[in-house]
Amino acid sequence: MNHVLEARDLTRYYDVSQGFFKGNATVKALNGVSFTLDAGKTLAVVGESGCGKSTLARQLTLIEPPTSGALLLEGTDAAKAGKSELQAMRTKVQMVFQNPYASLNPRQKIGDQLAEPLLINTRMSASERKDAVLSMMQRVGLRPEHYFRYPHMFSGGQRQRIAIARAMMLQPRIVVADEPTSALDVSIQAQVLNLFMDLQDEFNTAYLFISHNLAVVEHVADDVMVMYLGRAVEIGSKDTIYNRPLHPYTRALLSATPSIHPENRAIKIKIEGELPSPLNPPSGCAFHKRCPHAQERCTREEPQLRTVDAQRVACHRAEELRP
Amino acid sequence: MTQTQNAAPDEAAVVYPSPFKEFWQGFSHNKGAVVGLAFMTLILLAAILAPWIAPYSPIEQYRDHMLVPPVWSDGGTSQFLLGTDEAGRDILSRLIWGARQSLFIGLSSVLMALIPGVVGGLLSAFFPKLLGSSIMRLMDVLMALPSLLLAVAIVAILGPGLINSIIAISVVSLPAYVRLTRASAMTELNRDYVTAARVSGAGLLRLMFVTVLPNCLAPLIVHATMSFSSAIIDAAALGFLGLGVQPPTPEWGMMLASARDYIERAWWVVSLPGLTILLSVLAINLMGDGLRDALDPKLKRAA
Amino acid sequence: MSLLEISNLSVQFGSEARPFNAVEGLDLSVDQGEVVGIVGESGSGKSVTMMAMMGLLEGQGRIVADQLRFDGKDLLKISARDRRKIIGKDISMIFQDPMTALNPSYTVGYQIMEVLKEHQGLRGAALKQRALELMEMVEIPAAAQRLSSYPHQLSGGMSQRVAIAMAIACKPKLLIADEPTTALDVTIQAQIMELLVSLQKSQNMALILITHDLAVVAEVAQRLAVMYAGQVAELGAVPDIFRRPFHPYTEALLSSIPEHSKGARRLNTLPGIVPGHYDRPVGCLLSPRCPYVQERCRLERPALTVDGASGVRCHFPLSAKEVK
Repeated sequence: MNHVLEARDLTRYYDVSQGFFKGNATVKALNGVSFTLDAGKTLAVVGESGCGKSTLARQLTLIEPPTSGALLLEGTDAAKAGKSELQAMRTKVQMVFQNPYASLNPRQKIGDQLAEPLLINTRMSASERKDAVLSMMQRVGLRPEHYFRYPHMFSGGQRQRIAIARAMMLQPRIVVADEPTSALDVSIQAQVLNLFMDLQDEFNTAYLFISHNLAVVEHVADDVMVMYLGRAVEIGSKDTIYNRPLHPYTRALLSATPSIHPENRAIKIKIEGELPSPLNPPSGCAFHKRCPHAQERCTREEPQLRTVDAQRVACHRAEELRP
Repeated sequence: MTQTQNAAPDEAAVVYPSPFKEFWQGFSHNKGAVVGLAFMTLILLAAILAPWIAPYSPIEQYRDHMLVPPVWSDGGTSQFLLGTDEAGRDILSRLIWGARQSLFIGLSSVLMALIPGVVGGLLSAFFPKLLGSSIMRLMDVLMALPSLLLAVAIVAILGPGLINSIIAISVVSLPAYVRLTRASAMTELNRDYVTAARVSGAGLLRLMFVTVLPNCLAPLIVHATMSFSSAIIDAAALGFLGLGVQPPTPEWGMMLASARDYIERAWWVVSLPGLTILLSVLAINLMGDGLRDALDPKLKRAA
Repeated sequence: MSLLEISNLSVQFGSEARPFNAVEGLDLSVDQGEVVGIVGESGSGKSVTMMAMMGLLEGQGRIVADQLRFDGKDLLKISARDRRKIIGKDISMIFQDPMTALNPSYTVGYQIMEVLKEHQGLRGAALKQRALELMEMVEIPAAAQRLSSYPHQLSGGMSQRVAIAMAIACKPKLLIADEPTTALDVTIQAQIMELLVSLQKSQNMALILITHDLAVVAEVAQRLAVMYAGQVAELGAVPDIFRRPFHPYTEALLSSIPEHSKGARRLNTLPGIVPGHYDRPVGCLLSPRCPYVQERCRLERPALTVDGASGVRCHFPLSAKEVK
């Protein structure tokens, strides 16, 4: 089967200086992540801050090479691509950021910002570019007179529309959306999510949707990948993950998400403590210190991702704990 | 689709001022800045129109009229409105012509520091490992030397003269531009819009000059204005030490220097150029304050 | 009698000539030991209301109210000095961003002890003992060591716990939490909310929870006020208001939550945005966005009609409709 994107054992380490005399430490921000993404589908990446979601986003947009592992875009390996080939691949992956106040250039007119990807990557004439920009602006619900305005004249929701329009200008195969609605109010969030959905239907774009809001993820995702400390701990279709989560961390996340309906509320699984420091990860399973089901084996042996039922999960006790 | 279409129209047609108008609103709010701007416009006009408005040639010596006091003091004549100096030259004409020198020195030394400073700052921000530390250490060395002494040393090596003092002044003021550009470029580099430009394929030059630089300009413009005035002072100091512009070219600092022997006998020969320097520097600094009010986004109220 | 009773509170910013009402005619009462949620989008005036009550807007906005009664005293009528005695002691507050709510130059212990010294006059061993007790109350592990750590050495969740410890140091009667978990991760959010509720119960405090997250309110609050553009749009008891909102805005907010449209490709939305400072409509503030708008709504502003515990500000409240 031909996937639009395939990540194989993607790894990214950072060296962190710990001070003058101590030498460098290595942070394994992304520690062997594999997944596939098909055209027109949405893979949601879920996890708490520090789990490697944003590092993953930077890898996918090809602005930073992985430490090891392979990234295949429509079958082409990014690591083996030549310079011009890489440039062409870059236009296929675009990104929408979390904070709409920082993701637009404050000193550039909206029209110019939207035209920039076309200016760099195509040979369109100025008037063709303007037409393309205007039609995309209309597509995302902006009016033509917004063309000459600066970002500070827009509300958060409108800025996010502009950012989405900019990402869609080159009609990319994949859009990486890094918490695109977490800075927005609920009613605006709904407008922006609808826009994402409409654009996906129209352009058959694949989304990699990074979020910590499980209610939003449930709405947008086809598949879900749960990450913890640089590793995927559970991958599966949305329905499997939401109805029969196997990893204790996924369950904790789901039960921690508040719900407006009393009948939807799960019994709270209380997990103690916070995310361990990525500089000094625990031995064995990274989650064992917070896991209510941890055993002696979990402290020694790092669980690998394996297929259990309909999903893949990295937990030694997945079968035993099956509901 | 209809949903997204009618999602924006409500936002009432609030008319936003154009960037220039908005800038002017912020600038004119500061009364001192407007006064400064008016004074500097006057000086600028005087400099441009010097050949037509100066009553006499600045180097013409009227031997019969040495050290004539200004028109309002005893012994002054309406022939020489601000009096004459020790060689019988008309002070008003020399001040008007001197404005040309001073503005030229200010402008060119600012530009000669600004352009390499911005490039150096951007380079050190974009390549922190490769170039950043070496550029910054070089700047630290420059900053470790007292600026006037350094300028004197540079002029001593290159020889006195207008162009050399401009070079000296711009070398001295270079580190400030580098540091300023680097600091603001580094904060901007972490912003998502820079990543967005990268993702859409922008090359290095485009990132540096189209994406990042415009967002670093506000503090640079303010600093350039302020250092315009310090360039005038530095030039005056070099002129005073005899290392700047050579006689008989009229230059405010040198006029001060050559008149210092007459302080007790003819106050106007010293005070009038001194006052002109003081007022111009003050006016430029007031303007700089106004620019900061108008350009600094931190002080700008949220839109 | 209620612990806190605000009636007809208005907060005005801007010049006399071009005033802008951040809060308009707000009524709210909170009983002892009660959890009240205030929900609204950004710019709806929820934080400004609380700042006005705490006297934190001095010199910035003009505050007018018929009554701002806390614990039998009218906060607007007493002197600034008396008010300072109440605020920080009987009323305290925690903020959205715990990282900026703590002073980075002092240790956590020092900051907690400062509060205790100021308001309770504790000294010496008793002071230290009480600080430690507070740290344990907010479930900070290794509390004794953490007393001497600096805010930057703590995670966001830990900092928020410290901020809570400082807020409850003087056993306040009312705790105001302004978006206390917005900056935190889901599992940490759950921990902090649980802590807040258990402290609220054990200390018998009233808790005002300001948030934009309806689900958080649904889980912990007993009553809810929905704010829109500086006004209370709807008031009500918690399970009821979620099952059967009377105000179109409440309905729209609820239905724009993804949880409400399970299985649907698109979410229900309320078109447009909250009116800005100077473009407020003449009639009902929601009229340009309301799907049920009528002629009367555009001309006349509705008043808050209170019926027992619930109230709604709408000419044509949704009566028989159930939200699916």
